[in-house]
Amino acid sequence: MQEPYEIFTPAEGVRVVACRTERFKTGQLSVQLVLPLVGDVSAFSLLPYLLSRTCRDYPDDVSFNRRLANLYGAEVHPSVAKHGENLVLRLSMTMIDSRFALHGEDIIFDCAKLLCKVLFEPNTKDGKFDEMQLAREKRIRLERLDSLKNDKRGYAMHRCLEEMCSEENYRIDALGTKEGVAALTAESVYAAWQTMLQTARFQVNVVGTGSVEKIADLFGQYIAQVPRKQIMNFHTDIVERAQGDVKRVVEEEPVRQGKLVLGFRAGTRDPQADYAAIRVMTDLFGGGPYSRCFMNVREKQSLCYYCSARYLSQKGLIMVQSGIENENAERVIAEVQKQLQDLADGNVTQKDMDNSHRALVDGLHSVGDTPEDLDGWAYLQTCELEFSDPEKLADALAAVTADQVIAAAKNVTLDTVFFLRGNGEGEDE
Amino acid sequence: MSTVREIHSEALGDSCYEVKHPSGLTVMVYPKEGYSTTYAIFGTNYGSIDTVIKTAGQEPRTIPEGTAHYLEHKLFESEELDAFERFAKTGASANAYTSFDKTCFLFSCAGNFADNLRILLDFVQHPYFTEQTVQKEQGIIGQEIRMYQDEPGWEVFFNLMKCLYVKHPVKIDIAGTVESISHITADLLYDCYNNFYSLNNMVLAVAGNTTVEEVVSVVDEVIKEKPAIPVERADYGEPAEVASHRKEESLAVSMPLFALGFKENWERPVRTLREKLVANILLDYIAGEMSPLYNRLLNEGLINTSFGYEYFTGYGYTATIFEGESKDPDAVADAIKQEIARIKRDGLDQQEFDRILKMSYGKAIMDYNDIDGLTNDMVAAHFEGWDMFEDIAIYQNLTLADAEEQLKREFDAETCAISIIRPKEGD
Repeated sequence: MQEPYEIFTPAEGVRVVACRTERFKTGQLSVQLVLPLVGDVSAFSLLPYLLSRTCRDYPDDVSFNRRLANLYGAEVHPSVAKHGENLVLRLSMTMIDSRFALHGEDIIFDCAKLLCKVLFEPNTKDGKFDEMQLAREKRIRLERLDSLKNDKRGYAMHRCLEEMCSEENYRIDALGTKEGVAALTAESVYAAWQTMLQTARFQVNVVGTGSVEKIADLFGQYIAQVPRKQIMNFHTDIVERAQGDVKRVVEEEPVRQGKLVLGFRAGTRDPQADYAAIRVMTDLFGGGPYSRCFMNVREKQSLCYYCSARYLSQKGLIMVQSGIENENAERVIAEVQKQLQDLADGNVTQKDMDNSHRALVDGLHSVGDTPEDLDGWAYLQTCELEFSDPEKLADALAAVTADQVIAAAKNVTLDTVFFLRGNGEGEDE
Repeated sequence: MSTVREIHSEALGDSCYEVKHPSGLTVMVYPKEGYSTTYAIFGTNYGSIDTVIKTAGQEPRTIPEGTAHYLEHKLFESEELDAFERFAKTGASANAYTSFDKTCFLFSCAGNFADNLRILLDFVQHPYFTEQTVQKEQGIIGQEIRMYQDEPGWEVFFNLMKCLYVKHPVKIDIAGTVESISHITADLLYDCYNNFYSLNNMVLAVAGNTTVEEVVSVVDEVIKEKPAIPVERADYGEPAEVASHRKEESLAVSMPLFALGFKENWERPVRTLREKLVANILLDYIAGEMSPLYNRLLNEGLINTSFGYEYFTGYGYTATIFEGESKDPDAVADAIKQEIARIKRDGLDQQEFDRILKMSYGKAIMDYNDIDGLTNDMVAAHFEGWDMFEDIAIYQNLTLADAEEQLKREFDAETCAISIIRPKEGD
């Protein structure tokens, strides 16, 4: 019962994706800015965070946060991620729907105005950002880069991808580097802000009631003020198969449980075109509780609590993660490969296909039930030139056959195995 | 016959329904027009803090730590198809969780809702444990326990609980320890099940694309009447004092993590919704993003954006907690304590209070969207004795004097403790 997405193109390189709906108590707005993932991205990567706290009209945190409180607790969330080898900077806002405002305010439009101010009219003076605010943001980012290691599972995944893609731009961390962040100045970040506005591809997502056209116009007017230059093109290098021997990397840490990550190449030159078959195959490999990894590595052999596979479609990778005892590492690695081989050998039943179809299609039907998911769906397609809706994908997934799954499994090759091994120091005293 | 009570909100234009089913089960339904999915929880008022079984006419018996969570895992199995296999046939996404005071079994689905609800109600009502199936789970849950032990945020929190609480089982890990779960047997699981999974101790909550009639007709069909078992929660005799004021540990972290807590002592074991909402307003006032304290600590480099706070409360425990990362946790703790003392002395500023109230009202409205959140709220509302939508009415009537009155009861420096995780030497 989801309303259709509407697409507007107010200017070249600018896409507005809107879902007009009165089903929710909240509205959702976001702006995505896409730049190439090349070189040192530290300055671009810091921008959404620096911008999200102030603007020229509300130049300090207290006045800015008071403005948000007056918008009935509207929230601004900055984030940065890589979609393939594209860097996606994002600022999103959640607010109450205008019909719940106590004095007839058009809250969604007021939030759109604030979001534009944050992005286009930041707290800068004489070609520089505020020194104190930048210093603080740099400090927070350096601490975050340092603390990546606190999340052991995330760290193991991060390291596996870094090793696996050491020759590709995908190795670049979307959060930047410590050296890069430390070297940022109020002038260099200002220059990065200008480059971002001049060359990035924009996607604005709007979910809620009220006039989408008015919001699209507002962004259009702001963008018209920017001297736009050569707009970036989406690009990602796809490596179809693993080359040579499997790369093995082991690091030791005082952890109580070893964290294992297996990185596979999905065996496709066009991950989007082959998406449906690979997605269903990955689901049977290590998705739901009916998957090979869950049923065998966890349920039959009690080797782990989690063992799951994910398809990183924008780069054509399949990643398997598990938390295990040190001494079981070789056993789990062999078992995971055996499960993939089992699919490739053709042991895919109609029951498997039905289980996966039902679960994946059912999941897609829920996209329309929250403003965050409707925004999130559009966000995931930021770097796709052709916009696709959940129903279209559901149809594609439902049409996948067992033969396609078997063929997809045959194409998968293991590239890198990363193991974060406990060194015995993490045990209880 | 079931009796139905409608709970309506003028402000939101929504209704939810409380059904008292003749079996003794309470059923909560929140129909959401225009939604495709439905979310259901079948939950029992039994969690990790229930480490003693009190059956009328029998001596209370102590059970191993982590039993509630273990039971949650094992209920998915049956003599024939396990619950996951059954849900795979209907396409639902199923799961379960155990918290300090609840165990919840849940699914969400876009289609086949009635079939899925039948499966949920059926498998939770049909325990099947053997020594062999119980044994099999030791390895899986052992790895779950060890996974959490590698999360410093989890560790810093439970170390704080061990400081704040002398006897109350809120200080133990929800899943228990590798050692404690080794004592769990099939007989023990049946004993816990028979005591805590009585329909009068449970609730079924459903939100989304459904109606009261649809839910009740499935309940009529699947739920069998059973004699009600009065379930009483144990009083652990928790003293007002804290166990200790400080606990430090070293782990593989880059920067120290801290959790600062103020234990509260109230006459009644459970906080009212109003008390909880006021406590959250006070926390926003003291340390929210608008507050002078938050901005000073951020500018001085003493906290980063991982900083947060919560009013942590359940049956027999209440504490306010501030947590985050800091190069100098004690300096942060001192600043928080000083700011609280200042606010207690000077009183609350009316303008700032009004801003926070407006923000809280907005955030409360925003919470009435997501069916998973709403279903969990209905479970909490039933077990804790409040009504859905009551929060919005409370915000509309709350005064500064109410908040100042509650402030007097909170943040007692005598019952304060800090837990710190420091980086291991040489890291």
